Amino acid sequence: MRCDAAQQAISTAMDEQATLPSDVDEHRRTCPICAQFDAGAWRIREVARFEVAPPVPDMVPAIMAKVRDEEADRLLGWGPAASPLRGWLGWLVDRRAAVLGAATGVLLGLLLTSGGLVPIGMVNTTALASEIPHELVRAASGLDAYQATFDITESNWTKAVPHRTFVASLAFLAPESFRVRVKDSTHYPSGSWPHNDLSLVTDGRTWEASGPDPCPSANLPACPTDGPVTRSIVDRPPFDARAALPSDIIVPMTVLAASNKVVVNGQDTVAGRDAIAVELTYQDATPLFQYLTFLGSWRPFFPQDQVVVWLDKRTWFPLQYKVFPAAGRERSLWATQMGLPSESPYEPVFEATARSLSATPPPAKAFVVRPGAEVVDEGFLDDPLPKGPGSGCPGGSGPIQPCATGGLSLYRSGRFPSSPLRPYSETVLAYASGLAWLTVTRVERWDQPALFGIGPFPETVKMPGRRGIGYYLPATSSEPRRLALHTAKGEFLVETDLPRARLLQAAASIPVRGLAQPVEWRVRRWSGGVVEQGVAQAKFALQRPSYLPPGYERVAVQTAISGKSTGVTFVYRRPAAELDGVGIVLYQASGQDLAPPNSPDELTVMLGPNVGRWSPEGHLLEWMDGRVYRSITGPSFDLATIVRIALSLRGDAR
Amino acid sequence: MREPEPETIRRARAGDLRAFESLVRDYQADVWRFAYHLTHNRALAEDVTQDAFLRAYRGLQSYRGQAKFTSWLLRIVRNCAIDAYRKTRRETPVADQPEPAPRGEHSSTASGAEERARIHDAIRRLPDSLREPFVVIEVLGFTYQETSVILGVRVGTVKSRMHRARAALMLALSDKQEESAGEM
Repeated sequence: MRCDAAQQAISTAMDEQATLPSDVDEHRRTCPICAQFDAGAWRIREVARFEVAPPVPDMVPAIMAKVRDEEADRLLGWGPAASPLRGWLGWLVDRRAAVLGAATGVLLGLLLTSGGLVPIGMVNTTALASEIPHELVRAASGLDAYQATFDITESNWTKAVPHRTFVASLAFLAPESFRVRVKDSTHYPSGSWPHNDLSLVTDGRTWEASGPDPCPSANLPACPTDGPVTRSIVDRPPFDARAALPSDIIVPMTVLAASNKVVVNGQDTVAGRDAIAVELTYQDATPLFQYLTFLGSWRPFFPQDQVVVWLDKRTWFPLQYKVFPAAGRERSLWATQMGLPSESPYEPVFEATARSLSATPPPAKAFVVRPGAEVVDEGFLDDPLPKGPGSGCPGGSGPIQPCATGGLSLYRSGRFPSSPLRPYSETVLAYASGLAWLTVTRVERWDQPALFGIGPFPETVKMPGRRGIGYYLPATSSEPRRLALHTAKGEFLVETDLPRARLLQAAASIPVRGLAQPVEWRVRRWSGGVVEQGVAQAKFALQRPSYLPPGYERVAVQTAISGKSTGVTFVYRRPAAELDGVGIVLYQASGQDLAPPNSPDELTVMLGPNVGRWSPEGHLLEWMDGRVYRSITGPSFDLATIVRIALSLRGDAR
Repeated sequence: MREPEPETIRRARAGDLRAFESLVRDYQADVWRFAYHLTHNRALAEDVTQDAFLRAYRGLQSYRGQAKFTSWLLRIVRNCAIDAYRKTRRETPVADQPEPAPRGEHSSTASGAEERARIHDAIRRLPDSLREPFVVIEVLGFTYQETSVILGVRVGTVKSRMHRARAALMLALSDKQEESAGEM
């Protein structure tokens, strides 16, 4: 072997952190010149790479001053082109620092019209972040009417149709009249492609949605053969979650209004209005898309994709929102599985921008519903509104109801008639103000061994004002925030789009005392074992995470004993909304083994000394820790986050 | 060099000056070091750094993530350094005196410090075409692929130049050793 070829190979192996080919290595061992080259090259690397770095000057202030000067130049229109204003602008440019300092407000106005996001350097961001949720609730409560038109663009729906455009018209009249029409303005390759034209309209009591059935994009354009479908509901109870008003597009109540604070990103102008940009993940932003996704075919988004929402600074209506793909390998794998092309995290793949917006009341005829042939009758019967406060409230004598509703007025009252399927009595009182609403359902003669209206793993909460305890669940993508009360006067379920604190406040004003649910509801026995809610008992060392994503808290626990196996489940959720309906579930069990793999997508993951398995489809990480089986599920989280939680497990969880 | 969060870049691209400032803060040291290796002059490296960040701010709109952000940024630095070199060539460039050995060096043996000084001096004397890939790969730790983006040459050229840089350094160091042996 020639020395120059061997030395070239040594050099390349060093830089690529690769092993030397065997023939080169053999040559190096026997050739003193190449051995010297090898040793010398490594010594040079050591000296070059590990030298003590010279001190670096801080250039940030100087650089940013230049950047700001340049930005001001750009905004002031300074440029080489001849212009009668040039002399004046030159004077202004020369004095831009003074102008900037003296006329911040004027220039801020100029900056806002520049089309780019501008930092909120002159605004208290922290205060704004915690103020926005309150402002949203205030805006929602005061909103009687709304009309808007949004221009929508969507990328990468299918390979054949990589770009689609829509126009969505929305109308709202408080408290429950809502209409959205989505007109598909895409140029499709041929007439066989279904247009995603959608419609949803409700006057509160009747509800109807129509559009093409959802269809896997890979099957298109062949999929929808029967034309648009229509779903109609009559005798709808107030604020029925099964036939919901997708009103988060008007004021985002589900997540943003219920948060303690939001992530403020910057300021801008949209449709000529001053706007604040806030940022959230797609998993938290799904309610913003529900006015589109109730029917039809749409592209998928990854839970960690970033959604930036521009809120009108005056009315707090969303003016624009954009979805930016998340970065990282897991997102790329997901995109491949979904048949999506490679997507840059810097380019939006979905945009909705308000073309027009007003609070002018739409005509009542806009909400007329003409139910189609297939109608579902929900069977709710309206009753006259009770007059005056309910019994138990000062001066009250009517049916039991909250004594304080925070400014919301009673607007509907009714019941579901008893039937063999519903042998109990169920009455509903609905309160509303603008977009804000609250319902109180009372059930008497309840015959089921579980809390009414509440799914598994509710959080037990102490009611304000020593009103006993209640059982709380955050909002999901299909259910509002809700609280169940088990009382001597029946079961109560309070549901609302208001934040959790307002829900607890209203529920605590119902003149009843929340009792602990009966032991037999909490403990379920069957021939194979027993499940007990609210306890964490095991004969092995339970662990708990020392890291959880921001906002997550332990809300529920359950022990299941079956034969030789004991399993303990901890549930972690955020208090305002957990749109996947799950949150984070940590399960630990003795007497169980890791099941055989059942999907080619499963990945092996090292968890310290243990080997784990990640199932992307179920967002499930599982591993054996000695003789203990542990698993973590988090439908909204990527592998990196779940692994971080797993690696943070420590000590005893009691 | 660690890559910034995509969100920071996106915000900076959208005109968020705070996001851009955080990029400047995070990368000013690496940018300055690269500029210093290219110019051998602290003041000139400072000018190059400022100019490079200003150009990066103007050019962010065109950055689409097709290359790593750090590669893209260092390519700008290199272009700024070339411009600065062309300008200073007309204005009589003045290289700094070699940096005095940092304090920690005093604890090393005298021969170790001398060897380091010799190596640094040899690196400084490399022609630009060899010193650039050497600094990018050996000092800043980039790969061949990333270096090819930064320098705007093919990967094969980077490999070849890197080898030639090493060979030239070995030769220079062996000559020096002979010189110092002859002086004794």
